[in-house]
Amino acid sequence: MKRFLHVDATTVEEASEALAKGGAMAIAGGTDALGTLKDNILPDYTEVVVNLKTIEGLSYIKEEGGMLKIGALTLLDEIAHSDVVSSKYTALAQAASRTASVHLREMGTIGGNICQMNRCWYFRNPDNKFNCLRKGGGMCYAMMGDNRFHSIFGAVKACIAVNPSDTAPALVALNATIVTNKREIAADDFWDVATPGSTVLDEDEIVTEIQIPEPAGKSAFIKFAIRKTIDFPVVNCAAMVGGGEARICLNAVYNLPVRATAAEEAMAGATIDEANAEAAGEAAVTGASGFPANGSNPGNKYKVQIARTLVKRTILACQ
Amino acid sequence: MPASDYQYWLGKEKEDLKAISVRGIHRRDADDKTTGKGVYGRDVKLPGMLYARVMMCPHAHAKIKSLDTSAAEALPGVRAVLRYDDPMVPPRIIHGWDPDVAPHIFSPNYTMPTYTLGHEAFYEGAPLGVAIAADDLDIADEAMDLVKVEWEVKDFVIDVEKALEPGAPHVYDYMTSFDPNALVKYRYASSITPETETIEIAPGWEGKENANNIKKDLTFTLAGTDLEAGFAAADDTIEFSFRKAEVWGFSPEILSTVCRWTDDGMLEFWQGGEAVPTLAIYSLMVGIPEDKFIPHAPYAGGQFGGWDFSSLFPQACQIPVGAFLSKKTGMPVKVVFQRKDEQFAEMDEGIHNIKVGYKNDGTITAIQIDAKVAQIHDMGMLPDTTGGGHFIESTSIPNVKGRSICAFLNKHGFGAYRCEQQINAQIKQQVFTRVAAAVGVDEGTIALINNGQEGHDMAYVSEFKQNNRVPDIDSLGIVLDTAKNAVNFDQKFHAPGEGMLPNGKLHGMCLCPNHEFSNGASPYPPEYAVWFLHLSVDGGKIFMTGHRPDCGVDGRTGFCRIIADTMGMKLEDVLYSRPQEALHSQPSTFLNGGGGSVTFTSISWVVVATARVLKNKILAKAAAMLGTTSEELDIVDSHIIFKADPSNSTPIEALPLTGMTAISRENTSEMYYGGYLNMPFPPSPASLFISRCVNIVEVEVDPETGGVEIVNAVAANDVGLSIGPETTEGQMYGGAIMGYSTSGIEEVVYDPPTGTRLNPNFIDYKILTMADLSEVECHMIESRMGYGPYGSCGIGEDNCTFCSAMMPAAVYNATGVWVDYPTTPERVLKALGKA
Repeated sequence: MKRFLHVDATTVEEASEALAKGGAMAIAGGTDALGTLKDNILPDYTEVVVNLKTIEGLSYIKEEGGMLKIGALTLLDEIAHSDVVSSKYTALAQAASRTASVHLREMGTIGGNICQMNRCWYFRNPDNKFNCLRKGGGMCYAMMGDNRFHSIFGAVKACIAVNPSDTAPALVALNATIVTNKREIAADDFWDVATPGSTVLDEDEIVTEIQIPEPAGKSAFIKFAIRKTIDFPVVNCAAMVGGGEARICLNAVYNLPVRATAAEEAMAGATIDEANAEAAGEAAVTGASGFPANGSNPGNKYKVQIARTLVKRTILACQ
Repeated sequence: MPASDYQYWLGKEKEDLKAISVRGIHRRDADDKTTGKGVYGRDVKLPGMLYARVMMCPHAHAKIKSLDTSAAEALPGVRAVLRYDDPMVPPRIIHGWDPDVAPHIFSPNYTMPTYTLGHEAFYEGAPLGVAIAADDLDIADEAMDLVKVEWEVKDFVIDVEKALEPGAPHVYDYMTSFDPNALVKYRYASSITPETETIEIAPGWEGKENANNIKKDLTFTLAGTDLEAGFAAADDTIEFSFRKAEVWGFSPEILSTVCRWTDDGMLEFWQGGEAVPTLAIYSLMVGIPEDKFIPHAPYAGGQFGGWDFSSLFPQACQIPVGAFLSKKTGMPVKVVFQRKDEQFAEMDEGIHNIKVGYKNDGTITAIQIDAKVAQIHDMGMLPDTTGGGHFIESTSIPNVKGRSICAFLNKHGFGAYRCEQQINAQIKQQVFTRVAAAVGVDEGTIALINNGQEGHDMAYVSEFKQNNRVPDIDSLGIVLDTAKNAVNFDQKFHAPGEGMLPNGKLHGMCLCPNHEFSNGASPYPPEYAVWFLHLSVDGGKIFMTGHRPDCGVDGRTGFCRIIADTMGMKLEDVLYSRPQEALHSQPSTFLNGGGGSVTFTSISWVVVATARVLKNKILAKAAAMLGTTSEELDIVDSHIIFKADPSNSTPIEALPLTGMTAISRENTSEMYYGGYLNMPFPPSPASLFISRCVNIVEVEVDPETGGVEIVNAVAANDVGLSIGPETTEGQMYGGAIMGYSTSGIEEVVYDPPTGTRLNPNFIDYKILTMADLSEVECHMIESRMGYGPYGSCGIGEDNCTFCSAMMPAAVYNATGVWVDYPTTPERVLKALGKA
């Protein structure tokens, strides 16, 4: 790493002020931020690291006012093991329990997990070897290179990196709201393709809480990864089906979490069974194509098949 | 066979052994490693120590046109900047092991060229240009970012087949005259036995330009091979090809080196590699004699094989860089790599085309192999590089011929970092599984039908054993039954594609029958099994001084066990002396003091021989003091006893033996061939391949996602006799996991347009975790047929190698379709027509 100024913020306001000065990055659990710093992946190295973990009162899980409230600094491990989350907001508990590894879950926070930068091995190659579009460069190297883990739904602003968060699709499926020091943002609207970030947050904006209404039906999360632990998803999917409603979200298939609206329409009010779930899975990947194999690059059309399967299985898991 | 014939080894039955093959003995490094007391290479910190980084080339092939280090030099905290054009840096390229270092093993063309610190790089990530020493690594990193370089970027090639095409970019364009077969000619002139194997060097390459990046083009033929007749004798033939991806040879502890000059001009250094570094190489790099180095050997944080830094490229540059920066600053300097800087890979990347002829009963009549593989370093193992070696070593297949074309690439060094035998195992697995499926049996049946050696059946092997006092035990039959019974194999096994499970997944099994291949104890020239060892006695204790090996085979404890048993000492009275000092450089990296491969086993003969010498000295002195002859005495439980009256004993510690020593740096190859097996030296390779092993893996393939899950794994190894049972099981267990990882998920990925590695970290480069394969059921079979002391044999490479072959065969059994290595989801789904 290179040298930077480390600031222990004691209040959200203090942290926000430090971030507003520019050249700064927020750090909570640090499981993503430290990697970006160590690998020196960005063209401009961070001058100030603002530590949010020293802010008190942002780590909690409670039901209040008919909704679940989770503090932004709550550890993923605590969410995974929370009885209330597991019993009523199942998809989120399952997503948290499948994120990274035990040790990382004991460090990583829910706020950090939804704010992590997108994954692409060009974007994250050490020492900024590929000054790609996300960094303000002129091209997407993955488009012409090896894109086996990239978007199957096309590009956003010519970038085909994917959002790797496991909790993000669960929050979308559960119709969550992200509370910041400035506003409340529906989970549907929280992610965006920024440079180099992955959310709509302003530079000085800090997530403080996640709010989730009590779901109308059961929810589930399924992740497909190469290994059973540590890995980011090849594809993941969360669904909430019941009470005449269906919310289904895929991730790691596009720059943003992808609401599978066609699948939702197919499942809204429908019986959860193999045939309906399979049809919904097929509907979910309408418009997905992926990249073909090219030389040593196997392409990523296989992810379409996995996405189709995961949507089906996640719906069935909501029975 | 009479029981006495089993006593060929030192006349001892297993139950007579006290420190050998006994469970519950405390590992000598256990406390250090489990309490945090142990010092690893990365832990070494000296007073006033500076930290250094080395520039790594961002291009696959490039030369520095200009270098501006002024801003880096001006950064506060920077203490020294070493440029490639500094007069201190020798302006030379070192071709791996230099012929001056070990001419009987290596050649000028041994491996890819490595600059000490040059201005040209032949692969992305190669060290070159500049190294910076600073007060800490953060400052060094910051300074490195301030270095301005103007590059001359050259064409490159990273694909084996493309590299061999006419007009391909020239990888080593500075070489105008290059003999791709020079090494092999030299190597095989002295080691191949013409009666059993022949080597042909492709005509037309000698003395010509290094066109088309061909490093070598060789054909290997089993003696008596007649492919035409072999295929004519077959009932049917199968032709197939498969590809093998590049696999990383990482070490979990990222490598670092600390250098410090002493007042009297000695270069003291600390490196945590498994083996003693080859100081002759460092001598060339630094420009001082070998005896001016003082090496220290902290613990090694994991590494495959017994490699030392001097054999790893680009890691070898750490010594000259550290030495020169330390010279410039007058301070100790620690050169630290990052994960991305570690570059070395297994040597079997490539494409393999195979034709096999077989009879309807499973008898294989002929095998022809054509391979195009990535540049490899040649350890003289030509059969391995063509992939035919394991057919010759453990089958009766009479006709085996392989051609191997090795191509230079603009990639980092390839070597036997996770065992050069993997390609042998992979080809054998593919052939056995395909023939088994064709005739409707399992691979174990094919192995039994074709069991033998060098084209001969088992009668030949039995005759050999009987003539050489080796127990004639049906090793394959025993390990096969053991492994099969462990998983209820015969009830579960099914034809390919016929294992649908109730959960919708596809059940698959693969059985890998193979043998202990023992390359570390091979009949190659006598540098093998040579080891510097010093034994001394003081205060009733035996002190062993030699390089302390640090890898899974636990040589530190194992050698003490052997000394205790050989000398009649209590194990607690045998100690390693000064274990962190690497007292001596070895003439080659294979002589690594009980490190990887099977060197623990072969070097154990040195330990036995030296212990015998010291024991005899002690008995002679004791006899003089006790007024008797040494023949009347023995040592039992650290006491001198009279054989005629064991109750008449004297503790060793009570005798004035201090200063008595035994030193061994002798060639034990002849000792164990001549003394142990009573056979001429060098012997027939037959002596080396008589212990068999079987691994079985059971998988479930998800046809909708392409996911492959290992649900069961069993290893049954004939280990001859285990010196330390827990350690042996650890080698079996860990090796199996690493092997399944290799064939299941590991793959180095490059960006085709730039030649840059895309997964130089453990997030994107996948290795199996314990969550993916939580248990390997290990069964040790002790036939005592091994080539080592007590009838032991090597185990370190076996399961790692065999399991590296198995996953495609298991997926084939599940799905009925073949996929290449590794069996990742995209390959499985594509093979199933779903991607």
